[in-house]
Amino acid sequence: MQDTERETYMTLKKWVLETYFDFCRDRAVMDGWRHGEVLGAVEYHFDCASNPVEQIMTDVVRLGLRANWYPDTEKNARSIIQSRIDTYGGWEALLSDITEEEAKLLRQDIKSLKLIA
Amino acid sequence: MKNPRRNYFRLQFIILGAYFDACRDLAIAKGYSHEEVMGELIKRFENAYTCLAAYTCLAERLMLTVILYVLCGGWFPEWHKRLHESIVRQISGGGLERILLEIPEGIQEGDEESEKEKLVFDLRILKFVPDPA
Repeated sequence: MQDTERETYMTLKKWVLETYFDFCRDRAVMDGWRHGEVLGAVEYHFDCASNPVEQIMTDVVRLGLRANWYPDTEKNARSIIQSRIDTYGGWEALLSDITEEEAKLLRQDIKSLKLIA
Repeated sequence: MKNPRRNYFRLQFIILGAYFDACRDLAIAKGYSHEEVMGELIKRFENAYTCLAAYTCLAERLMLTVILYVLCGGWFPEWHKRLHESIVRQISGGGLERILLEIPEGIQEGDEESEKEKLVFDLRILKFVPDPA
């Protein structure tokens, strides 16, 4: 399922974080949006990745940005990731389909986010 | 000896990465609040600038303050006020003009846009710099 057109985890992470920064600047500092609203806007912005690997990767970064400050909606966010990864065939399948460098970084993140043991 | 300056895009990348790691390692793992995470980040990056070597670069200090100010999102009044005052102090009295002299014109190698224009763009959106007439 390796897709040569796909963006790397490093690039996707950078994009999500840059978008978060832009929303913090334009919507939070200038328009007074709350943090949860900024996160919602970032989530919406990245909710239609062009392939399942990219989608799961951006999901992971977005989940990281929520930290554990929104327990009410975190459960839902996690179950969406879980269903996407189940459809893919599990984390190990995904980690073996990406480059070693990406797998190392992604594994570290999903472990810290308690998506895998 | 002057340290080579990190550019605005690079600094943004470093600080956003550190913010993400802090969400992961301080908030999720240790239960820090959002404000505590930002406090840690500010402490870590701002304090680096009290060391003499890094302090020689005014541009990098301003960039760092702007990035931290944005990441505070206006959500934490004390940090917001402190960082706002710091930016005003750094750019007032011809400060911004002096700082901009440190930053080369045009798009640098490895960048997609001009670092100087991006910094001024952010300062303008944040209303630290007036819109061009």
